[in-house]
Amino acid sequence: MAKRAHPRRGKGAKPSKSTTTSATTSTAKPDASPEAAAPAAAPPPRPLPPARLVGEPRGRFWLELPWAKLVVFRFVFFGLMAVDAFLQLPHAPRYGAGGFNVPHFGWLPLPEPGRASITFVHAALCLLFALVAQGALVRVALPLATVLYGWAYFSSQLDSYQHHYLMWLLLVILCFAPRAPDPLPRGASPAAPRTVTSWAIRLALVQCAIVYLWAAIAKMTPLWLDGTALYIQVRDGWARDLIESIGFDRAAVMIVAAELFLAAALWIRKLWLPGFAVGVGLHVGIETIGLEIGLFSYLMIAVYLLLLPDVLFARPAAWLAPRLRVEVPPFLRHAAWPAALAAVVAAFVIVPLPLGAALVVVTAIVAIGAAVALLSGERSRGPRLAWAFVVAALVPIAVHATSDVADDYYRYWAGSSRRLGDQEDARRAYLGLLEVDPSSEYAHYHLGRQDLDAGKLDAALAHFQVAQRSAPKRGRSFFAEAELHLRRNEPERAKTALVAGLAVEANPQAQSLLTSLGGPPVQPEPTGPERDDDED
Amino acid sequence: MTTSSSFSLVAWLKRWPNGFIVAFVAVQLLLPLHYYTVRLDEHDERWAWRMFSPTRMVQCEVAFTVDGQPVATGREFHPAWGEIAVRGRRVVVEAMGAHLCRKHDGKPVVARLACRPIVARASLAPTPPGMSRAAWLRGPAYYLGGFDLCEIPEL
Repeated sequence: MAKRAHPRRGKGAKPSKSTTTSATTSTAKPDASPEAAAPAAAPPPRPLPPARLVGEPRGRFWLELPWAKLVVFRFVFFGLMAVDAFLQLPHAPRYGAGGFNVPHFGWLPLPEPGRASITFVHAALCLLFALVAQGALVRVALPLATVLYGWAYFSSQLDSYQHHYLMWLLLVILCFAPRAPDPLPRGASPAAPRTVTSWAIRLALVQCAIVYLWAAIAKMTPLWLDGTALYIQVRDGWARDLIESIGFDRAAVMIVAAELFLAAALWIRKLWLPGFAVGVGLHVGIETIGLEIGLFSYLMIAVYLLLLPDVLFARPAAWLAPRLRVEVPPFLRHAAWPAALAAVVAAFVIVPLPLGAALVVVTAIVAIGAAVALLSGERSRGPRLAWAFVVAALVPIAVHATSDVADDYYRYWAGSSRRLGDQEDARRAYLGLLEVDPSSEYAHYHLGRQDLDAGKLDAALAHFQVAQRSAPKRGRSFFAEAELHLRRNEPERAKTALVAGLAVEANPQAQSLLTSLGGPPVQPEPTGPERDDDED
Repeated sequence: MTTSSSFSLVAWLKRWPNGFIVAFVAVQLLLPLHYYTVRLDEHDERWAWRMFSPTRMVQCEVAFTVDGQPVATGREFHPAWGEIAVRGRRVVVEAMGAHLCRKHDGKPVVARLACRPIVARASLAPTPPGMSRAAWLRGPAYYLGGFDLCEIPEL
């Protein structure tokens, strides 16, 4: 988000009238204007440079908001982006798998993506977005994150999600949003409500409006308007029952109408409040009917925070501001960098994913930012950056603790490598999965199979036995153990393993093998076999 | 100060960020038109904001052969590429073909796609037992490919 030396004015107001235009005025205290706030002897407010004088068409595009609203939006939006970046990590192993890739633009000379590079990018994005959410190092972190996000998206058609494209466009735009509130007029009380004037926030809303417009146009086809497309895509549940009671065709038309309304409402400030209701309702609805689009609905709801009345942000901010203006205790300043290093180590140790490179690079960026701040005389900025980094490093730890990201990462990696015939790579993934879940049936079974194929029978047997203890209702490790015993010429032990496996999972091949060894027919228990889920 | 009588659009556009804003909005307004006017592959809905469109629900059976022998695409490509190919995106199928051509130099590589779109029904009654909603609403197939992609690399 760009920082400006001077505030811009909107709607053709003269500089001397300053912030007296637009909706923010209603939230501003009467003494917020320079005339009211400045003592009689104070010099007049500094005039704006001629290039920024108003009465020009460009002034109409600027949007004035309470600074608190932008801060809340930034925190929620980039906080969600940080979480979303971490949640993307399990998809990294699909990049570069089998040495095949199709970029979005063949003519664009982008580096080929691979598992390691995409892992690095999403891990770095998680940390960078978390920093931006806190307003830390925004000038560096946001453009860098935008470049990394853009590369991850445009380098491969594996990511063809249109909402990721939209998020990238919003990131580009938000690089130009202010990083600080407009300067207070000379002589104004420090407690005066802070505002921010920005064309980038307006452009972000306009971008969303354009998306709604085209989304509505795309739906103006018989297959959408008669409800067929909706009928197929809505999952079973109360939301489907509700739509069914309305009629799929009527609901489809209502969605088009809502999108057309939003295409207009996001441009027109007077329509923001109904726009908020319709937009949030639409995205909550999309989430409710079970369309799998990650955190997109929540990200759009974060954008809709910008449409809420200014007063909801300005008044609490006015109440909070003086209470938050406290000196940071010295011990917190001294503890900042040790805490940052501890957070890096904690993230590295606790999260069993290859995050090391991203942690080191982002730590270096933060340290350079702090050093630059120190050299430029901002001594308190370094500890603040360090504490922001501590919070950023907690994001991967928290998301890891509440999700299956690490487990999925190694499963998808292993499944992909195994199918494509890269057994060495698959073994690395199985071993990685054992770091996440030391008793993983999936990893032990496949490691056992690899060892069995390599003739390492003792190692294979150990893996199969762990797999059997981890998933006693799954037959495959028993059948593999039987194969192993037959190689060792131990038919009785093979029979025992086959009986144990067939007791939990039907398998015609295993049954015929057991019969050939003189064993009895075995009926499995009624519980069905568990399934692998290693296909990304 | 610039007055309305002497207002120069060119000078105004040259001043930051006016030109950027105008260009950005214009590109975003016009780019989706590309899909409706000049894009040859209707399955490729990128950059057109066609979320949840019926076109996305087209399902193609994709079969590759090398020198007449069927290719197990799951052993050649990550399943995620197979999913994109199943939606009929030609540029991806062509790239898969090119990959196979490089790998099996001199041998003909043929891709055959049988794509079944969603069609409207007179009424959206409950689906017949044992049939998914999408399967119930699929129409007759149309076909793509059937020639050597090493000779003619575009579908």
